[in-house]
Amino acid sequence: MKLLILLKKELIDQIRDRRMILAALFMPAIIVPLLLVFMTLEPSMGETRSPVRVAIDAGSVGLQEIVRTSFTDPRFILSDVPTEVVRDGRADVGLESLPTDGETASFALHYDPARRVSELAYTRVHSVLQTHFAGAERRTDARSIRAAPIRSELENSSLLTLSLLLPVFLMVFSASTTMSSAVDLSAGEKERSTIETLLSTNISRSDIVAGKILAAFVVGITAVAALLTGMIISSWFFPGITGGVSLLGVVGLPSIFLIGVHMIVCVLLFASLGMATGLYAKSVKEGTVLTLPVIVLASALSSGLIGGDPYVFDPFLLAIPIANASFVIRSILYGSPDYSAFMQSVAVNSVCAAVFFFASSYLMNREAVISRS
Amino acid sequence: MLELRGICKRFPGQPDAALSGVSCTVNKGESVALVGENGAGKSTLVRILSQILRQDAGTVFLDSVDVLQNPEYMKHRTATLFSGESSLYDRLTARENIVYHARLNGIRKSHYEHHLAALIEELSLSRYIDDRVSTFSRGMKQRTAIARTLITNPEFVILDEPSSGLDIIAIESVKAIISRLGMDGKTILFSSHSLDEILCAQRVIILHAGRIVCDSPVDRFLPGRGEDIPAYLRD
Repeated sequence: MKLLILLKKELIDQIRDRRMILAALFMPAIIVPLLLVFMTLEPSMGETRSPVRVAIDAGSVGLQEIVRTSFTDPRFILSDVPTEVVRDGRADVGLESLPTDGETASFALHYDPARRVSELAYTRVHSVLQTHFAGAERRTDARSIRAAPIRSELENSSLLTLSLLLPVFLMVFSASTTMSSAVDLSAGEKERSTIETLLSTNISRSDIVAGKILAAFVVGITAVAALLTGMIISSWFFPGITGGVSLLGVVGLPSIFLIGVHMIVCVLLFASLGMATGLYAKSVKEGTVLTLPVIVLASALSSGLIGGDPYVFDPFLLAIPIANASFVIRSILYGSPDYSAFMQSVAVNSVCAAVFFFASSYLMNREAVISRS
Repeated sequence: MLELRGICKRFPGQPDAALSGVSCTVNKGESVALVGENGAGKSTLVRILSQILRQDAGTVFLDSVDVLQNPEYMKHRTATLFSGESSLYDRLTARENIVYHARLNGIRKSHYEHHLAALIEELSLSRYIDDRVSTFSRGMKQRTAIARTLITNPEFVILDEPSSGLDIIAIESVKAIISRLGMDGKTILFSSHSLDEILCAQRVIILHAGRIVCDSPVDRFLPGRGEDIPAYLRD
């Protein structure tokens, strides 16, 4: 009976916290549909992105018209080594003529099994070619089409695992650690009643905000470094956790360093956002609840459900914070870092960080900043 | 000299003003007790003087300098101990709390080191100075907070309920500190609910519903003089 009395009181206490209700009910109701809308913008399994890029060598030029029927306005890239063009990401699928085995001409159809767009393109081209040559009236018209994935199964497995997991881990852990720290430094300062003394000292409020954001940033970037170090070491000894090839085996140390450098601006963004959230909230609890949808959003945007192909440069995607950083991380993992996308991502995330810094400064200058629940 | 002229303050959503036309003067070296019931406006006034709140109307002059136009002038000369919790950082030691406050106020190590040693001695903090504040009793926290307030060697000291929640011995200690500060020539404004503590001051300002209802020498309220502070707090 006393348990029910306690339960009733706790529920009343929770329900009367309007901000908590807003964060716990309203925001998830908005975030999830928003994510689903974003996901519908991505091509479904049966669709390919236009225009599909097909690499062909001189011996495969005759197949151009047949392949053209598979897609709307495909682009053909003439190359002596179609497999390299596919590996570089400049083409989605490659057609290469092989030495004939007597009467039947052979072709290799190169594709990247680690890229959905490439797999879909391969399926389409392979199907149309098989259909066309299966009905050949003369033997000399027959063609042999051989599937030629550009990556080994092990490499493919590792790349898929890492491209799915690494951006998500990096974003989720950096977001949660950094924003948690920022909320503690802001809302926690109010809860611990230290904010009034701090504001009465001879330091400007903007400096207070900047100092706290930098402190949260240090915590966050340390978490990123720890995560990358942990993955390097654990996948070195147990490569199975990353699909069969260690993280260092998939990408070298310089690329990992590049990923770490790129995370700097993301962590700064989370620190600024966390600071603004903490200054807005009246308690650490409220601040933490308000950051949860951000963490959910960060994990979804970084998961590859949105803009997962590392070679498809989408200007719209690059304007979305976190999603743009995940795209850059994937392109680095695939061994073809897009430096233009890198700079754009840095610029967008920096601007967002600056916006939240100014928001934090505004909130710190309000009288309500000393109010606590 | 601190001069307040017509200070008014109203908080959003509140039907009554927190302060209505508060005007008074605190002379250099004077010790003034600010008295009033809960919600009278004492803490609001303290926060306005500490410049963490801004008044809606009225002016504050320190040595004839308009504080609103020159906030740095007041900040360099004032230190405030806020009411409620001791407002110390629990994960830092007492020394770290005090030094942090000094550094934020631009006091160099060479300037605060000697002063810190004297404060540690005076406030009996030597045994605990390098312990984390989370392990302190309330009295120890309050003494540390007072040391932090005084580390900048301010001319004007504001103490908002300095003996709140303390035991008898700790209260005596606070009273001794207030008296010592007065003898050192510091200007002190402190709020209190303790008559004993109030009587340590030279003047008493009584706040009631955001207005000053009495501003007089403390002599009037000494036992046997016939004046009764609570009488001023009744509507």
